[in-house]
Amino acid sequence: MRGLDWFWLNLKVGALSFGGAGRIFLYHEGVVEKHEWLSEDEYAEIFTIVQVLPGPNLVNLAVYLGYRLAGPWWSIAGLLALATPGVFFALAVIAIVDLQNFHVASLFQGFSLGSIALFAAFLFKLAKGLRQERTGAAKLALRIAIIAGIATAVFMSAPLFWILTAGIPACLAVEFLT
Amino acid sequence: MSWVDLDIFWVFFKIGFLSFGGVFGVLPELERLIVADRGWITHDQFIQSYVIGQFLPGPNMVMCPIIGYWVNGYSGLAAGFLGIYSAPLIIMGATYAIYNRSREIGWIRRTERSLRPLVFGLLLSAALKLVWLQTTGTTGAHPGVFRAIGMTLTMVAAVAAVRFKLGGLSLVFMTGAVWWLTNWVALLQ
Repeated sequence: MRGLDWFWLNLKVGALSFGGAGRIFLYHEGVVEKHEWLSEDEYAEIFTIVQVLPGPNLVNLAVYLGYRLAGPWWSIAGLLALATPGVFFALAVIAIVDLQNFHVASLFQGFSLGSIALFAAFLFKLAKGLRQERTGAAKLALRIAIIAGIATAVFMSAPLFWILTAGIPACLAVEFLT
Repeated sequence: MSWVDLDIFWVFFKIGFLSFGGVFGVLPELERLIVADRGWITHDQFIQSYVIGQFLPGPNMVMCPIIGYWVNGYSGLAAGFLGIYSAPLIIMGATYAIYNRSREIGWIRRTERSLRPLVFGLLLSAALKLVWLQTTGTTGAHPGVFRAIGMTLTMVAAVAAVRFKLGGLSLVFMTGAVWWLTNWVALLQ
């Protein structure tokens, strides 16, 4: 039954995905590679929609996929499975661990670097998919996006501002005018 | 249930509607609302809750129920939990209802496809910002040296993840161990 499988996938991400940013990748693995519920292309489409809209991105993705794959009730159940284990872990951590401790802080920072590395590996896959788009416009847009991404990071500005004022118009212009 | 719980709910509910491109985009705004405006927790606690959220499984937004817990115990925890997770349910539900019906329409399809590189750019900027902030080292000295080592470590780990299909958990623990040793050596010197 798909609803139960969906619940189970969320529980796995919610309870086992230690180390951060790479978690978003687990949904691709579960939904496209393992269960083949969605094609690569529809997954990429949903990924775009949920990232462009406001909201915590992992939660957005999980909720939208839940609606799409198994309906609203399973979506809510999936969200609970995703979000609840972390709360218990976090309560345990703040009760037991001294976060000011040098060794704990170093280890945690190192964990987060590993998670960024997983995130980067995921980005690499994403870029490879985008490069396969054959049109010149798509290639140009990808180049603009890379430069814009680096610029946003370097100047530490709010992504929201740049998305609304520059990103969306630029992408639309490239698509519809060229 | 008290007014404080309602306020906790409200703050996180609002944040759910404001956050573009992940937790990173809203951290400054969240800190302003919680630390500066309301004085619920300290700046250090705020950063700690963020680090916990980064490390633990599940959404990094787990920091919100934890902040709620610090402010008002278990009812605060529940308020934070409901606040941050109800916004996506509403927004995504509405989006699904509208979008899934119109996704075959030509211009909507083209618009969506044209925005894909933008999402890539957004995620790239989040990754770069994160790596910059998380490579300060924990000894408080030589931030430049730590940045260089930390970025190299992250890049090597990323290449390893792509090339050797290294499992996520083992990769995370390896970088944790290497970074801890690096910091420890620096401290001992």
